Amino acid sequence: MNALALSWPRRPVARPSFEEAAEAHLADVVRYLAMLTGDGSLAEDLAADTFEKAFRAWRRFDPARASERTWLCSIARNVALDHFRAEARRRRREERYAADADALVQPAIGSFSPDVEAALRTLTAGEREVLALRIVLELDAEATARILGIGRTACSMRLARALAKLEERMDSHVRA
Amino acid sequence: MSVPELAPGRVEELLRGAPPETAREALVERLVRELRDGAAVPSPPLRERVRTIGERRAPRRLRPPARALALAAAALVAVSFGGYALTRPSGGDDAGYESARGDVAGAQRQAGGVDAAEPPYETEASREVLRGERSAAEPAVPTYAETPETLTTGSVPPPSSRARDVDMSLELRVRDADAVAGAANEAMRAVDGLGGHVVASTVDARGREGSARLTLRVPIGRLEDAVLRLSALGTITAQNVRIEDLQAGVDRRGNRVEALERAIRRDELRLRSGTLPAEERLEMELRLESLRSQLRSVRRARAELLRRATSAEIHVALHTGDAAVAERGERGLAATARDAWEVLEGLAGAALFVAIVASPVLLIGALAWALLRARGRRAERRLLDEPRPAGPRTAG
Repeated sequence: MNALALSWPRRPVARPSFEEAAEAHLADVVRYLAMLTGDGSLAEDLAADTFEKAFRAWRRFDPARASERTWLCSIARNVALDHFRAEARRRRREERYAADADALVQPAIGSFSPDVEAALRTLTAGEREVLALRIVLELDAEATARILGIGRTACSMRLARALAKLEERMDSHVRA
Repeated sequence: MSVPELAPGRVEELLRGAPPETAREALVERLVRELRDGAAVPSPPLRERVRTIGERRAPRRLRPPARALALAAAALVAVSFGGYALTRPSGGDDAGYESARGDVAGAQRQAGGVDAAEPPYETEASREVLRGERSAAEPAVPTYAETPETLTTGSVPPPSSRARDVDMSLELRVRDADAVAGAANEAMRAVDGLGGHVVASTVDARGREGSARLTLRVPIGRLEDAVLRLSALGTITAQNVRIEDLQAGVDRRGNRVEALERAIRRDELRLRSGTLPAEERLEMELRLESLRSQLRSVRRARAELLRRATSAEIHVALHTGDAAVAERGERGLAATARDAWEVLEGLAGAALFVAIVASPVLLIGALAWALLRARGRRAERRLLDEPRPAGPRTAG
């Protein structure tokens, strides 16, 4: 076990090694990134970047302030946002939008049924993100709100809206 | 057709495992189950890659953590303020011979008209003195004060040839009513022994409380000794020095005396010559009489100034104060408590100064940080809400 983090005046909390934390939460990070990006293979690349950053910042992690999973998801979110910004800059630079999306092969988000997968793809990254954190990773409202940087009430409302939209899209897909 | 949202509270209950109550809630429950069961799974290459990351040596910390730095900085600031507050010169009064000597040195500085407790008495005489006018014909009058330029802190200046009127007041606290009477008697004996005299005295002692007021005059050359002996009678609670420079007035009257004497001698010679007509002779005699009268008046005024300059007046007020304190015995505790209070005062003052000076800067900084944070969040939401086509990952 690593040395205790400096947490005076709080009571020091023991924390696992980086290897243990990575092994325990790799799947959570991948699931989260897959839902956030809507791209399973991209999620794997971003997950690797996430753990690189986490390894460099591991000394600064304070287990008394948040769990390892919450901390890793925060880092993963920043990695994904950096990727989105880079994508936006690239699109602006090249002065073209991504081609007709239908013409590309859509990478899978997960092992969902086709209508769920299709419905998820119609949601925005922000909507999928809250579904990933609250439902897939089963984080509580407080931890999710902390990762998203919003209040608990706003987090609950965002989840309700995302679920309603997912239902609606599934409905339309089924009818179609 | 848009589906109305479930109440956020109900969604939370369903997520916590509450049984669905409607068909719609059952659908949501199935969705939740599918999302959980069908989520992505990390591939073996990714697992291997992450495991490799964990096996690396942890990066060396190049600088101590921010919290340790902040604690060290706060401790350094606190020690600095404490050291400054403790080494500040403390005020307060001390009885005793050594401190009285320092007080007297202060009084002597004030006799130079530089930093008197009250501004020196300003007269035309003082202004003329400052311009350096003097009469060479007048004999030097021994005075106590030195010119301001030659005074140094704590030194006893040599006598000056300038005439000055020195008026001091001392307020002393003594133990009790008996001590008031004893101190008053001792003060009067001391002044007599120094060649001075008592101008007025009042002693009032009732029960444990008492007070006395003395007006004493001592030769100007014995002022230091007088103040030393008077200061030793109790604890000084107040003192005051008033200086009036008389030299210019003395000089002016001296010049006037000379002019009058010359005029009188001239008129007397003309009278003795016998060449004046009767009418003019009468006028001259009348004028001579007037000149002689003026001469007497000016000589009297000059003599009065010189008399004032040869002695100093000391007003002594003795009182028992609010509490009977054994001055010397409890000085240690009182001094320690006073020092501790001054340290706290210094720290509080410094903290208040920092708060006043830093608060606008901190406020602006906080506003700027809040604005930047809000802007960052808006940019994040835009990123997360914009449609994103699937495609190959961009490199950097």
